[in-house]
Amino acid sequence: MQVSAKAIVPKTLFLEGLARCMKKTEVIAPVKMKGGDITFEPISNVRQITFDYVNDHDPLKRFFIPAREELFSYHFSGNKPVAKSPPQPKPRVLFGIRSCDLQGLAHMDGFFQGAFEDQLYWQRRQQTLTISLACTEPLDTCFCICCNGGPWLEHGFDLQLTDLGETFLVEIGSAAGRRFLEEWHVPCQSAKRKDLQLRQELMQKCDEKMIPTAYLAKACIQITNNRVREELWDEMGAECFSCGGCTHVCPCCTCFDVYDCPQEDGQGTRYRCWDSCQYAGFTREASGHNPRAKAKERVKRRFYHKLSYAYIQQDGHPGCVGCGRCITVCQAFNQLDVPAVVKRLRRDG
Amino acid sequence: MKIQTTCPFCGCGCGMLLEVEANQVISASPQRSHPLSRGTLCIKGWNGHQIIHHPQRLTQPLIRNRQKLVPASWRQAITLVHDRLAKLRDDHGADCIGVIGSVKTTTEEAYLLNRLARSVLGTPHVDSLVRYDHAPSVRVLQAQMGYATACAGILDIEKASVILIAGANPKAQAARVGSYIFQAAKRGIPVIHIDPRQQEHTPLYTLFMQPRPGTDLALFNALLHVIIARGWQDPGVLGISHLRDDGLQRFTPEYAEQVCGVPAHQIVQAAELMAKSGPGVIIYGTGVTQQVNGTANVQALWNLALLTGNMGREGAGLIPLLSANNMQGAIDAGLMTELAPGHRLIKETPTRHDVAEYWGSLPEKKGLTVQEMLNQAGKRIKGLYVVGENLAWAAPDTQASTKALKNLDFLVVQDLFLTETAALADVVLPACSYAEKEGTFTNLEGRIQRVRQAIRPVGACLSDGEIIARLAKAFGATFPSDPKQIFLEMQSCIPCYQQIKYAQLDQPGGVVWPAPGAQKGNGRCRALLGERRGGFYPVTAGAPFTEPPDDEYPFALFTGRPVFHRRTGTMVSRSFTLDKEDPIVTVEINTDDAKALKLRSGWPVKVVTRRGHLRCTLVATRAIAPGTLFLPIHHKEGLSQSLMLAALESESGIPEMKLCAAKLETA
Amino acid sequence: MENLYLPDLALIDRIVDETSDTKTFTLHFANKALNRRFSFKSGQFVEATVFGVGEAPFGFASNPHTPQQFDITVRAIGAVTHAMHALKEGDYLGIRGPLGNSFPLEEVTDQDILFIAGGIGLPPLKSLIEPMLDRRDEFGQFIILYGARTPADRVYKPLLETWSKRTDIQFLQTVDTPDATWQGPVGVVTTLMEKIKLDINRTVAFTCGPPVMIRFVIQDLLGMGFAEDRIISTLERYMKCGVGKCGHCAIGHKYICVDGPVFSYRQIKRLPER
Ligand SMILES: Cc1cc2nc3c(=O)[nH]c(=O)nc-3n(C[C@H](O)[C@H](O)[C@H](O)COP(=O)(O)OP(=O)(O)OC[C@H]3O[C@@H](n4cnc5c(N)ncnc54)[C@H](O)[C@@H]3O)c2cc1C
Ligand code: SF4
Ligand code: SF4
Ligand code: FES
Repeated sequence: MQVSAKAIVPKTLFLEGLARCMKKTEVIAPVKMKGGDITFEPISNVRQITFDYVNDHDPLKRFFIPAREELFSYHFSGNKPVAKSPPQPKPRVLFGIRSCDLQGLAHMDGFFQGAFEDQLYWQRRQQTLTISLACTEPLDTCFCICCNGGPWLEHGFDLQLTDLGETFLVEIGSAAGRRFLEEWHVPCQSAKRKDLQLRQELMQKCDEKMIPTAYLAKACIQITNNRVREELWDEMGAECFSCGGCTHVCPCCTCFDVYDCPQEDGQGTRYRCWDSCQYAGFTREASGHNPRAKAKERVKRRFYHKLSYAYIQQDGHPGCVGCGRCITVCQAFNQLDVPAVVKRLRRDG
Repeated sequence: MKIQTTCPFCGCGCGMLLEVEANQVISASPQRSHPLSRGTLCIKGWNGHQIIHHPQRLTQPLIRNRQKLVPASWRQAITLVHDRLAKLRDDHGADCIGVIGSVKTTTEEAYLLNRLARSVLGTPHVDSLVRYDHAPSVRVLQAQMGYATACAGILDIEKASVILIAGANPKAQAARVGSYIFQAAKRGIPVIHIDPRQQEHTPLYTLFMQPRPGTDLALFNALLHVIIARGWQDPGVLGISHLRDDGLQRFTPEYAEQVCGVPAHQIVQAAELMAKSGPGVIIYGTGVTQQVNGTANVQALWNLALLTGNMGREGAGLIPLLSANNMQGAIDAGLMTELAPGHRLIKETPTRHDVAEYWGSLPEKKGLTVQEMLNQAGKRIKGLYVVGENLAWAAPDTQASTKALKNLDFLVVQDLFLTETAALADVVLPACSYAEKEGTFTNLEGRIQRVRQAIRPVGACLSDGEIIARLAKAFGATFPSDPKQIFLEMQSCIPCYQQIKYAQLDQPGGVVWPAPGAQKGNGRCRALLGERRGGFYPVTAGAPFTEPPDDEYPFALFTGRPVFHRRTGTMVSRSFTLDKEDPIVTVEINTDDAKALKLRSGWPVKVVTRRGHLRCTLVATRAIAPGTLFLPIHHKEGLSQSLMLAALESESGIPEMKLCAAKLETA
Repeated sequence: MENLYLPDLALIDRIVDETSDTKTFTLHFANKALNRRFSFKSGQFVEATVFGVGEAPFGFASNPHTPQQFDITVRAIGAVTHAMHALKEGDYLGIRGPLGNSFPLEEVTDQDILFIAGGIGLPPLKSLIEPMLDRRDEFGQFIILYGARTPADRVYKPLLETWSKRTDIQFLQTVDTPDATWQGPVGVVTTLMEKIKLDINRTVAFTCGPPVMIRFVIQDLLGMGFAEDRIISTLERYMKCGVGKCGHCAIGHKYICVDGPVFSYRQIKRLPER
């Protein structure tokens, strides 16, 4: 069956295909926890999937750079250490991922390639088929529209679904996506004009509902040219709780720390775990000297990385996709998230 | 997989999700649906989980064999504990045994430990480290309301029109509370901050009053004086006519200025803000309780709340910033020697009746407090059973308490790690972390929340509750083992828990006792007080410092908690990420004092008190007043506690841990 | 693609005590093929692992012409470095490297060369000094200034002895606090700069040492009129991965572990934080 790049599938039939796939491959999808929180988990039945969510509180980067991950394990044979890489990850399907997270993934793709390719990241990445859900109903914290993070994407997905009511509009972004449809017998029909038109309308409506809150340009200029008043950084530094939440939930933040966990029998594991540039321990040197001892310097660092031209040029993208998670997660309520800081910088000279 | 549970690192009780992979907890993330934390965590919440798989976790029981602790089976360990305690009891009577419970274990476990101590071992000497932080709060609030608990919810802070913080650092000690105060300040709500040390958020507040350490009582009384003298009190307060005769006249703002060094006009301003802004929340911490005047201070704050009409309305009330995740639960379960379960005094007969129904019997009188047990170690107290507390470091005057523990005939310690206390024990029992068991924690506003098992126990660890139950069994008693069963039994003994249905605990944020409907944060005060208002009892005669600064030791040394730490750091210093946050011990000094002594920031110095000395790095700052020094507590590299006094306040038995005289030397 | 974070095993051939808290480890890779193809440049560094303790970065301290055996000089300061000091000859270390950029060498032939090192800053410079001295005639004036806290705190004492005997280089050393035997100058390393004559227009200065020292040295050099790109220094930051991924060493958008550790002052000046 030849499938066109934009196809239309009844929702139930798409999910049946997913169910067939699930028999052979791990499928990770959004599920609702008891209290109402959304989390992505491996599922055993497509009925577990919830569509009643916009974006999950914790970013999908955890499926590519887990919060804690083994770098290698070791044991001793005599006095000789023997180190071993972790086992290869298995193939899986990530279903229901939102555009902003996918854009975050694209950001990480760029970061983890280059002169030093991060094999641990790429193994997971290559084993994962992404089926994303374009957004039609933004949250009031969403500002992807300001950061080219959504609400839908042109590329970067294997498959992108748009909910048209009874059917999904399926956009095929890669050969792997096409293979998924074929292998699991998802009955696709070419999208008709009216389908495309409906989608166009939905997109338009979504765009209109979206209140752009992060006018990045001025902030980028101020930061790039180091024109932000020191007093404003002082103020923001004093407000920050240094909880690290903003970086932990950010789909673009990748920093990690490394530590060893030895066991009594001489075996052990070296892990990496998420770290945060908002922590004082992040830059403290062995001598006790700390170049970013003050929260102010750390807040400044975070925004330099997110919004300076130097980084945008290097990464091809600002370090923000507009998912809005840093708004919800911040203890310094509505003061230090990206839209808030962008606004503060815009009003500052 | 993610498991929803309650953060165990401070009294806020934020909702968190633990991510589990191959029976290991690999991350914690915030619960968005939680009514209080609403999708946030502080640095401890995010990273504290690393303790669960720390390589130093105890994984099997240890028994002292000659000088060394050697691994043993659970049977051996439990039998040994039973045999030794039974023998001590036969030889010297039950009250030669002391039991010290934890403010971190679940309420169910606190309850079972209490039952074990009082009904199975039969000793009256059961206490917990509530003593060291909030004994004065328990004393005052229990006397006033019949409940030793906050009479406002954390969410009342959102509704308050004025906020007063005294002797507390909410941002560091209870970040979520700090966050709500921050939000209020940003909205323009007046915030009054009373503390000898300025904090990061202080500049955001309306008014900062910096009393000399230990002089808070005069300041609080001056606030009362101004309000009464100017007729600003809430018209509903009874007995106003005789208020003038209560000895408060002396506490004019000018007098208080002399005593505390706080400008008189600031005192008047604060009094006016408190009296005239509308509903107000008063939040206080160990800065005002760990003093010789601890009980008087809390009473004075109670008076202030009463006088300003802040008892029994929304957005108002008094909140003691309880310093551990389940300190409230420990109080609820009666893990203090003067209390029975349910906030009732042990000496009251009806209490003994309904508890005895389940327990069989319980002692008629209160026994010794933690500090008294330490003082009697080797004398009246021969055997000590310590659950989940690093007593050697938590107690003031570390050298003296370590020596006391060594004087015991028999010491059992139940913990996650080989703490300084466990290292002295005859038997060490390895306990499960919060991720390996079920139960409930009660946060600082009385919110009962589920703790859920995320992974199988590490090594051969057992939950504290299971260990206690096994020990009870060795003594021939049968304890309920299922957490729900324990909770139901507990409800019968704790009247204020009785309205709660177990299933309600499952909802996000659990249930605030006593009224399940009160969890929205309004009405806790009303639910607690009913028609009562509590009494206005001015305490005007403050005790003098036990150890005032003098020529030899010219500085007033006081202590506080850095954000990364919780209690003695047993847990938090074993989180890789938190441990690197704060590796260096510093002592703060006022910039002018530093100049006068020709000392600079970054220099190594020695803080010397009559009990010992501590090497640390100097930080010159304007955050504290001249004549004072500030040290972080329980720092693993430098125990401030080793320098502090063990002098006891007579009313509540809290040691005066916040303040003593010191001098600085170059190291 | 290989696991970036998996170290190779290296054997400790020799351990030399340099000072009371500093030791030099001579290493070679256990895997013969790897050892044969291994090479590094002056100024690069390795990440050294003590299994079960952790990993830390150390600059190469030996001549890159003999890469089949290389040195690192390690001061015991924290967990990993203390654990390294507890190792014996014949023990293993995990090594990842070479990492980072390197000192300019071919680019500075024909120039006068000035080295200014403080304390534990000498080892990385030694990996440049030695290959330069192998080709001594390709450079002009050759000056080495070295400062340490006390005479005993100087590393490579026998080597310093041979340097001071050489007539084709000018080698001056100073200590902050002298002992009974010390006959040389006393004071911080910058005081030695008054004792030398330089043609600033044909001199390239290399400096390495504690951050405060580097700051003062650069200040003095600029004061003397040095062009910004004639001052070459190393930057040190808390490092974890060494491959530009963990983010710890980033200053502005530069990653010290990949874009550095060697920078000219012109580059350093452009960094948004210092
Ligand atoms: C590119 C590069 C090259 C380097 N080359 C060398 C080299 O050639 N030789 C060399 O010896 N070092 C070198 N270093 C420095 C070296 O990497 C660090 O000394 C090392 O990482 C320390 O690791 P550690 O695990 O022993 O210390 P850690 O345990 O990571 O850190 C020490 C801990 O101890 C405490 N601590 C240590 N010292 C102090 C202090 N003075 N005051 C207060 N607290 C303190 C701190 O809490 C700190 O967290 C280099 C660093 C870089 C970035
Ligand atoms: S989430 Fe907010 S409070 Fe926390 S570190 Fe980030 S900016 Fe600071
Ligand atoms: S504020 Fe308290 S309960 Fe909340 S995450 Fe931090 S330590 Fe945990
Ligand atoms: S050390 Fe990890 S990015 Fe440089």
